[in-house]
Amino acid sequence: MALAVELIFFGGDDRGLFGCYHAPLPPARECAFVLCPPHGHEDIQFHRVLRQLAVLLAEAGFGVLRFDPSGCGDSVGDSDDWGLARWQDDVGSAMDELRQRSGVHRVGLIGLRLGASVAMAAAARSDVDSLVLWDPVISGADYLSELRGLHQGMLAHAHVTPAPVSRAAAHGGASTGEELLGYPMPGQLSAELSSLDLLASTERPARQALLVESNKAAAQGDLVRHLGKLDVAVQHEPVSNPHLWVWNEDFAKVHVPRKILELITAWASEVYP
Amino acid sequence: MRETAVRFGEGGGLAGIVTEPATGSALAGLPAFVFLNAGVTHRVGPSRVTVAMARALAGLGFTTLRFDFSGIGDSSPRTDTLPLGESLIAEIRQAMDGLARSHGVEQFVLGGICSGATLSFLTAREDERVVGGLLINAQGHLHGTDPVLSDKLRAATVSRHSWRMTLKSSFRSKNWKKALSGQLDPLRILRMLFAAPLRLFSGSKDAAPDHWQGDEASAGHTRLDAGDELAALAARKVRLFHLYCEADEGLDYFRLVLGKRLDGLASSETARHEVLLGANHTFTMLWSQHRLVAAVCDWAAEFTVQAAAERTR
Repeated sequence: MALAVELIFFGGDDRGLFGCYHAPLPPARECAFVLCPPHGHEDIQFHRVLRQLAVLLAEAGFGVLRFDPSGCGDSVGDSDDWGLARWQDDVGSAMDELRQRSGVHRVGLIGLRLGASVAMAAAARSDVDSLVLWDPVISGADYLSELRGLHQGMLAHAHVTPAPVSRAAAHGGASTGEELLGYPMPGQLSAELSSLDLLASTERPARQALLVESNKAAAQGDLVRHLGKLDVAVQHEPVSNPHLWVWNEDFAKVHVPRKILELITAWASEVYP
Repeated sequence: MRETAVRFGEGGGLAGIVTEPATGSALAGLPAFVFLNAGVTHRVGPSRVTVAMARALAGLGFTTLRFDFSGIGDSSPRTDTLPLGESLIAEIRQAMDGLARSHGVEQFVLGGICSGATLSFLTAREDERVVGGLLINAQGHLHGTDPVLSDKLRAATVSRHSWRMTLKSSFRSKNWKKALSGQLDPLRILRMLFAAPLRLFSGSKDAAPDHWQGDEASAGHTRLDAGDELAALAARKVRLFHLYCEADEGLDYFRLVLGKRLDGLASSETARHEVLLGANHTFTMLWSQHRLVAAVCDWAAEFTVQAAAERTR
């Protein structure tokens, strides 16, 4: 049976979030998942990965909603609309939309990188049954440092100049403020990221969680222990793939880590038999 | 500005977003823009530049569609055995058919980055509804399909690109620093720089096409019909905008194939070309994204002027 994928805008005209709803193949399970994408260049590079994950989950009987947060992808807005609090609200809208479309009340969140951090924060204030955190950004300050390092590396190696070469090229609006790997980093978002610390969370985000760790350099042991203290049943899965999130100028080199996608699908199928 | 998600093509397998002016309808007489994928990047484009272009054009009164080819982004994979070259052009035609039905548009501008640009050009040759081509970092589109010629042009393009990047580009000091600090493989550099010229010097017939300068003397060569292709589109009044980033290899291909005829063929009443100095293939720097959008809007204004003139006739 072919999978049905609906393209939708949801969240009302003011929010205008774009999403893709993957209906489950029967028999449908008693849970559905919202996929929370990473941000910036990682979002572009991982679009295909999230689609493949959605297909696997839908084939396994889960309804899935992929979506673009405010100001990202095909959703309404631009970088002026970026912010962690707003994106947490977007996740709430996505959960409402998914419940309505799937007819299933029990919802889980699957987030990648910053999307995982947003998902965890959103889960703490919503009724989320389970969480999959794939290389979550545990410290926003470290994430900013990492992006800034990659950006400096890009400036040193890629064939770009930091500013227009000619006055004619400057026509059309010079960029102001910080930029990182092809995207602006608005001051408001930068400030929010600087204070982001998942280890400081005090609310239990979900009953159970899967933590996928692809890079030992960003080990998640502290987060595993922290979630344990919050009474979350955590399964920690290191799957070595240390270069997964490195910026790549050539977007044609899309890497789909099938093993991780199958791991997530198998975990979800076991939790929701 | 208003955006709508659409499905079209056989079985509704193709996914796209239509962006329209705030009034809900485009200005009369304007063509609609159709944006094609840049390689396998989904329809929003690298650093979301296709979204930025679509929304800026909507602000000028244009309707646009950005969509994913089958198997890319949110579009379903094909289940038939149509060769890729044919299926891609068939899907572009389906995109135009869909917009014609839903919005009553009869004329289209096809555009894209890299492979999206090349496919825009190839479709413009075949479909008379196409009145414009926004060709950003296009490569391999001007010389036909002869595989031997393609191989030779490819080798010559790479060599020419290496020389330009090393000696003439805005990035030459950066490249020398990388070479001197051992970040580049010196043997690879030597091969890229000297392989084609050495083969030429040694008299190898495989070194490069004998007409690779694209000058008048070679214009009669039956295999290299870039001039004919561009002239045919100009005769149909198809507007072409070749926009290249300085770091893009396509620029070397473009100059190589057209040679001395470049200014005559690529800059005329219906053709424009521009080089964005300091920019890379995927417009990573924000200033280059802003410049791209500004250049596209400036070019698109030609259609607005033309449509206004036709309305007053």
